[in-house]
Amino acid sequence: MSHREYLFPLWIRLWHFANAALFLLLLISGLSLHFANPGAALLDFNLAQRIHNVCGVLLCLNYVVFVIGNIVTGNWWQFVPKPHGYLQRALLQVRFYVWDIFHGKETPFPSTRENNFNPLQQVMYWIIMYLAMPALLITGLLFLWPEFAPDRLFGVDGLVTVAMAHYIIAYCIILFVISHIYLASCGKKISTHYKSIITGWHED
Amino acid sequence: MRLTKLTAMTAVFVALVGFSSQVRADDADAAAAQKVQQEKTECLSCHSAQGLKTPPRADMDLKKLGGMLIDADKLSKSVHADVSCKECHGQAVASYPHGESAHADLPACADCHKKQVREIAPEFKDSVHVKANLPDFTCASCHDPHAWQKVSKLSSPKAVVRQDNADCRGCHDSDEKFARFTPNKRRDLADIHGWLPSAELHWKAVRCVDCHTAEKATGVSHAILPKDKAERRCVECHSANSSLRTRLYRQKVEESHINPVGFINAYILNEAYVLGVTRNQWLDWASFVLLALVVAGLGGHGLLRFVSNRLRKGGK
Repeated sequence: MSHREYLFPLWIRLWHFANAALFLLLLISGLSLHFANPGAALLDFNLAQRIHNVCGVLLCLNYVVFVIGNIVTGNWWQFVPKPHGYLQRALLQVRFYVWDIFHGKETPFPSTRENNFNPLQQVMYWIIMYLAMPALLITGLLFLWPEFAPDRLFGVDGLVTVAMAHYIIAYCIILFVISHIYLASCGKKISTHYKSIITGWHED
Repeated sequence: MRLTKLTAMTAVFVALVGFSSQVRADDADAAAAQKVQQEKTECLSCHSAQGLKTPPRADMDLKKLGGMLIDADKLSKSVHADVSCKECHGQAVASYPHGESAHADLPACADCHKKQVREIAPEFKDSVHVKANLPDFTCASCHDPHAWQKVSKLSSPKAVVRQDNADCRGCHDSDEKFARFTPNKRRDLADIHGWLPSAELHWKAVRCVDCHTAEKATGVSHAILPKDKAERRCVECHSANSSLRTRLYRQKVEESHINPVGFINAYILNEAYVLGVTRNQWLDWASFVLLALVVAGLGGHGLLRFVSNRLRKGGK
């Protein structure tokens, strides 16, 4: 039986794709800055730093939209891993990814308005949105206004630690984004989840 | 046998004479150095902040003295720390009131620094300061003879930057000093460098001349470039093969051969983090391997899904 439900209101879809576009621009400009070299860079250093600064600030604003939107609409509840029987549910989801999916079985936790994320999504999205993103944005802002960075840390210039943390966190988020894009194909049909984040309607 | 004894006695005599003359020379040097320092103390008893506060004489023009103060601490560390004041200011300063020639008849720097002046003369002629036709612009306009320290004596690249940039900014950040050389209006440094991100931070980390001169095999060129010819390509510094290696950090590069925990250009880390210059290659490799593993893992998962799906459909 087909099930159709409006899962993603407009503000979440706009926020989601603004995030995606900003991440793509930040990735290209960030790599250009990190591996800056006269011949090898993707973008010219000057252009890359401008793009990175502007998109970085926009990403901060988009994060504010996320926090306010979550509070106002109650969407934050989706991100909270519910403790009762969490481990069993998470293991069920793992079993789906490593075994059931190859045997044509359906996801044990279909997306509904009350329960949009599966147990692994809940914990992963929670880590990304409530730990990694604030750390990424704070280290990024310290880069933008280095006068607020600690002068010295671990016996070297304070920005060294800020830079390493920014790079490592950004890299982890990029790996998450790649996995996120792939795992979105694990719906009933390959296109199921892609369609629902574009139209807002989930159909399976 | 007698001849040998005679030779030995002669050798001992020559050595003793040589040793005593060496001792005499050392004593003479020490005495001369002490005399220079005594003279300096005498001059600084008036020409210092302390001297202005508690003038040793009642008949002095304190207003005039206020414009002729020397920082004793800076002088004691400067290239002229061991040079007598009279060496440049002449006998006119030996008595008070000083003769008019004390400031008017200063010797040319080239009288002592022949080699250096000969070497930099052609560069200096190409400098924006000479081309702008500033009649009063001399070596001392930048290099304060009472304070300038040799780069090799300075403790760190940051100290070098501090000394160098203070000289440039001394005029370029002050309408009053700027006006001493030219009637042209001074343009605000922050405005001119509006294109440069975190300009103030750059000015603390690199010398003005690192962008405003062409690179040179040794030392720094004295052909200071105007703004339209100065370096504006960020990657010249912000890259693995940074020109900082052959400019500000040349000495550090020569001293450092180790590469702790995978950092390229690690010698800079103690002073600053420089984007594109001080990245960690171990981290770069680790992240590349991790990316490859994630992509391979997801690709493998996708492939298995495709194959198992095909098999299931084939079986039906």
